[in-house]
Amino acid sequence: MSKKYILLDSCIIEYLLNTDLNRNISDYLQTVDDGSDLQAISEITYSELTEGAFKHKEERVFTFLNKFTTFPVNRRVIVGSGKLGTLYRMSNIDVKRIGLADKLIASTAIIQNHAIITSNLRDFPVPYFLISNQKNITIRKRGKNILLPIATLTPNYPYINQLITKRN
Amino acid sequence: MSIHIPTQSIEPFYFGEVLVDGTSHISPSRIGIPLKEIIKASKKLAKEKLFIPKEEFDE
Repeated sequence: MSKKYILLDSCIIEYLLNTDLNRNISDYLQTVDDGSDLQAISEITYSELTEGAFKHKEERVFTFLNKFTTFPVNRRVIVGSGKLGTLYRMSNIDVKRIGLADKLIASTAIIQNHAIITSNLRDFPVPYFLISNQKNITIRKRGKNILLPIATLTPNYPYINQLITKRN
Repeated sequence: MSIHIPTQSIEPFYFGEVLVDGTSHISPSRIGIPLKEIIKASKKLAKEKLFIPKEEFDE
C-alpha cells in the first residue's frame, strides 16, 4: 500500500497565509493530520499563488511553498485532468467554472488515491468526490457573517470507474 | 479529536494513461517539513499580507 497524502488545494494555502483565517485553517489541518505529516501540494499551486501575490512578495510565497511535500504536474496528471473534464461533461457539470488547476489537483488525487482539503467545494464536485468531513468557519467581513466551508474530500472510485467503463 | 479519512478498496481501472489501483504512480518532487513547522512559519508570514486583497467573501 502506497503512502496516502492529503493534497491541500491552493485556496487552503492562501487562507493559511491570511491573518484572519490562519488560526482556523491551522486547527483544521492539525485535526486531519495524525502526526504523519502527510499534507502535500501540487506544483500547480505555485502558479495559482503567484497570480494573487504582490510582486515584491512572490519570493516569500515560494519559500513557504517549498516547505511542503510537492507532487509534480506530469503527463499522467495532465492526461488525467483531460479525462476528468470529459467525464464532467458527460455528467452535465459546467466545466467552464472548474479551472484547469483544480482539474490537475483532482487528477493527482484520483491517480494517487489521495484526499483533498479545500474550501471551494464546487471545484471538486459530488459525486466525483465525497465529503469525508466538513467544518464551517464563520468569518466577519464588512459587518456581515460569512460561512466558509473547509472540507476533506476523497475520490469516489466506484462512480468514476462506472463512468469510464460506460464511456469505453 | 482527529478526523478519520476512510480507506477505499479500488476496482482497478484506467484513468487516462494510468491504471488506478491504489498504488502510487507519481513520486513527490520534494519532501516537505513537518506540519507543525509549516504552521509556525505561516503565522509569521500571514502578518505580512502577501496577497492582493480579494472580495471573495462578500458574496
